[in-house]
Amino acid sequence: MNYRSQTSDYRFQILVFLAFAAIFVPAGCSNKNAAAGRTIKKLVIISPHNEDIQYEFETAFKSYAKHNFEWDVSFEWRNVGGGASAIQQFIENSYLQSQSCGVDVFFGGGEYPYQALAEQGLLEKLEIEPQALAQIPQQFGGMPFYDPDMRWIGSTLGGFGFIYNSKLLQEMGVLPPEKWEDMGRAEFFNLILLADPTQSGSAAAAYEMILQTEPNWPSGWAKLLSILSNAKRFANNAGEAASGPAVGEAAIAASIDFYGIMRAAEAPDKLVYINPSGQTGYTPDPIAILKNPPNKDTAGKFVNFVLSPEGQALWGLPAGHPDGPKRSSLNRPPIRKDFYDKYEGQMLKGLSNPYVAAAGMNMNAELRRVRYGVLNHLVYAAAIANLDLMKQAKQALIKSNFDAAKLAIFNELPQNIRTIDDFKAAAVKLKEPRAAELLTSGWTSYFREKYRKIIGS
Amino acid sequence: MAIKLKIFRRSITANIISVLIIAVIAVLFLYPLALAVKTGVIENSRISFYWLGRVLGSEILLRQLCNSFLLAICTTLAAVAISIPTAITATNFRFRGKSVLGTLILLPLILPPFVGGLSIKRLLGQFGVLNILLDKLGIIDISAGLPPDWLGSGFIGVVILQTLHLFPITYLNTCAALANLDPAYVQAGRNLGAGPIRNFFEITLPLIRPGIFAGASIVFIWSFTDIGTAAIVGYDDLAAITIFKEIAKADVSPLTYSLVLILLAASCGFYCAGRIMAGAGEYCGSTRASVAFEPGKFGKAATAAVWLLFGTVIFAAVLPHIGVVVTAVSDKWVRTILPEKYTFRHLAYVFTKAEIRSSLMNSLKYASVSTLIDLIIGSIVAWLIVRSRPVAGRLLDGLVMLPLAVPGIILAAGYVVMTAPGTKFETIGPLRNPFGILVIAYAMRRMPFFVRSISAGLMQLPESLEEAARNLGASKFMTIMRITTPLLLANITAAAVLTFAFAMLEVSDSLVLAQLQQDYPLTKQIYVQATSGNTDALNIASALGVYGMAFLGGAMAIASLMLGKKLGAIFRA
Repeated sequence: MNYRSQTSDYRFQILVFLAFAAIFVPAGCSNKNAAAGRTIKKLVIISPHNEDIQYEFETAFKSYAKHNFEWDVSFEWRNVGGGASAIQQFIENSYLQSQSCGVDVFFGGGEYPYQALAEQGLLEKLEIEPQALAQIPQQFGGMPFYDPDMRWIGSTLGGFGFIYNSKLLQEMGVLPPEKWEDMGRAEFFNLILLADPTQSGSAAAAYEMILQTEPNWPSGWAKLLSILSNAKRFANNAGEAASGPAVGEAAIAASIDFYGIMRAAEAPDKLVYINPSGQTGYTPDPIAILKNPPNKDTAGKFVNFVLSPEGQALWGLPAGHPDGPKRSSLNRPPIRKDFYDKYEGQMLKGLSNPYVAAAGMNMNAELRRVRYGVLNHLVYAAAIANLDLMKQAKQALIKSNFDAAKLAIFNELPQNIRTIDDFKAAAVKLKEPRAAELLTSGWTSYFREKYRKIIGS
Repeated sequence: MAIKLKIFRRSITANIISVLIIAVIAVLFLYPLALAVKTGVIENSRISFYWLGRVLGSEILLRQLCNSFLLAICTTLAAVAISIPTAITATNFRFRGKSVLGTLILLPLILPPFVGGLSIKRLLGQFGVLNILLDKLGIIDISAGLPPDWLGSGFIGVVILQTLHLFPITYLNTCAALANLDPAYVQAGRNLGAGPIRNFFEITLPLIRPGIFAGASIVFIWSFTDIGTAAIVGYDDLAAITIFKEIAKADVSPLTYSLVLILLAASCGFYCAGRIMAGAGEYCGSTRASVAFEPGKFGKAATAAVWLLFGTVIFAAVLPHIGVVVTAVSDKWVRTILPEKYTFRHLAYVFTKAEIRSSLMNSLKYASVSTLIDLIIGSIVAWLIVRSRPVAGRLLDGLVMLPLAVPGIILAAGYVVMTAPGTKFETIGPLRNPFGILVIAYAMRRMPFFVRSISAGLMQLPESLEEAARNLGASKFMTIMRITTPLLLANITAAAVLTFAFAMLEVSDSLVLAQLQQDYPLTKQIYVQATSGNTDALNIASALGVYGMAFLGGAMAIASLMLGKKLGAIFRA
């Protein structure tokens, strides 16, 4: 064998290898340029808001700060690998270890985590400019739009409904749903995509809203369970669920209003989003400053920017409007009332003025607060941990034409979660690892046995 | 006397280096693992099996462990089922286009199932493309009843994607085993009157069993602990996914770490079982051919059948990724077979976003540095094991192979505990600067492939060549640079390119350990984009997937140009 010629072959390969290395290694050595000149302020934000929202608020605040305060702002968006609930846990956990969690602003994620953090004293008191505050009601439809002690404030509003593939339902010869109770109909069995409330804060809010369309907890639970048991699957986030009807994974999905509106706008001939009339309320999507923020001044300026006319316009105007977002429409109703007067007729299609929409329902904010955090675990135990058994039990119910005795078993609640006081007691247990695990695994076994009884009988 | 001293010195250096490497592995790999496991069994600084008991008493967690096991079994069996006929055809027969098909069948290795998952629901969903097609063809009728739900809970989808990605590993191992098989055995069987089927089951299969087991054990562990595919497909009823979701929460219950302990024990157990079974038949497996092997030649009909077999497998493997490419350029795609409108908006958008560009750069950075670490440590370890044989050689060998049995998600869990806020390693944690732990995690997990590739080359390289150089007066360094390295370059490049490629595709550690946007590698960026909730979330994620695949395709093309058939060598466990 001629080793010499082989060696020269390999010489070529060494060259190619070095070329490879020359491409890849510099990547490891790149450095960010530091902007020179103006004051550079840092801002650390933790947020479940999607990237479009992050991009628009970052870009707009940068130019706003440059113009008004002569600052350059460098943004850091933290992601802890989850939605609002994961963020809340991260924050609580951080403050157990130290006085600051290194984050300035918490932005978006529904009002639940803000209430919880405020109660634990983990939010700073906000100083909101009076012109902005004058345009935001303290309460609307039963829901507080900002904290009475001003530790959080809504920046946009969220409603809930469902999105369905109208073409598909038509082909199947099924009437589309109009109300929440329709989603529980037998013909929609295994056709609905929902989200896991322990992963998605907006799903948790939607389920609470469904409960509140009924006069009491047992009938609310029965209605919610009729919908949950029609689920094909529980997605890990609300956006994934809302995409189900477009992708062809399911026919219907529960959805946050702006996810639904945006998706329906892409294929108006096939996808329909509905705010069930009289059964949806608007809830605030807040912003807050976390305790002992590293950049308090910048954080305060950012919060006030989000509530300023310039910041509010980003939510509701179409991309390309001189006052609107630069790259993509955000499709969410701003919280300030004056926005709707100023930009009447220029707002995004599909977006309506929540302050005049008559379809809203009145909500009980206190009930929401008490059930928050506990309901998630109950839904998880009843529907997600026991998905297959729940579906089989529902099938058995459908087969028996909703036999009253079986239905009563199906809808029955665990002994320890039948009153408001039960919710309060459960919330305390959920704070301690062993008690929490015993409580939730107890619920899981309870539902499992119940479903087996229905399937077996 | 002088010679003795020299040997003594050499072994001292080798021993010191091997001890150093063992120490490094212990600190960077065993320590975090021990921490993760410890958190599951130590409560208030006391040993407690309470949480372990709760895991074993939980019907749900046990079901998830069973599902993970079942998933791994299904994927492994499916991969072996695809591999055996294809490998036998490719090894034992000659037919037109054999080299083309032989290369194309390796293609799925660079098509990450995690990316393929982005389109699987669109293709196989209950109201997806396949059923629309069947409806149009009149095979099913949607108005008469619900169409079949091919994916079901998603389990089947994960099996399909994993199988189509992993079967090349069992294929290559089976090919290698077949190539090492002495044709005299089969001929003897035939002489004694056995037909081809009896010959296959009584002679070929038992003899190639170690090779099949070797490949199968890699596939099994991979599938048992993969989180990327299941997370994108949306099948959650798996132990690894539960761990992933819990660890992401940052306030992790001891229950999760007990589950980590059980998953780790299970995968180590399965790995050892695989090794034992693979080794069981070794005494007759590694034989040299005593007669020349004459491959059978296929006629036209048989060649067509082979093309159909290979074509079906390759097409099935590529289909989800074609779906991804179409999704990347689709504008409106609701309830139609193909999109109604197309756009390059998504592909272009990816380049307008600094964060997305930086994720590609991050991936390059992590992958290149981890490859460099593997290159240096892996080469030294291979040299030590094959040439120097230090006292702790076997221990070293075992340690560098250990990452094959340790799931990425569990190593990630270990790093999460090690760098938790308030600990001394906080500064290299996911919330500060995870560059170090990501690179170490990537490097550790690919180390076995690297060491295997280079030690295989070293074993085949006659030591006499190096001795000849030394006799002619070359120094040791000169010998390594002029003789050993050039002759091993094929193995080194193959290992480097593949290590690099797999680091670019790494999911488990990336999803858990990169938590700040500026640190995201490409895979985490794809995951974040896919789950962003935006209307075009899937399109953007697919666009990123397209670039990722193009990039890897390029790397693999270069590697295969350089190495030809040796490419597959490193997947032979």
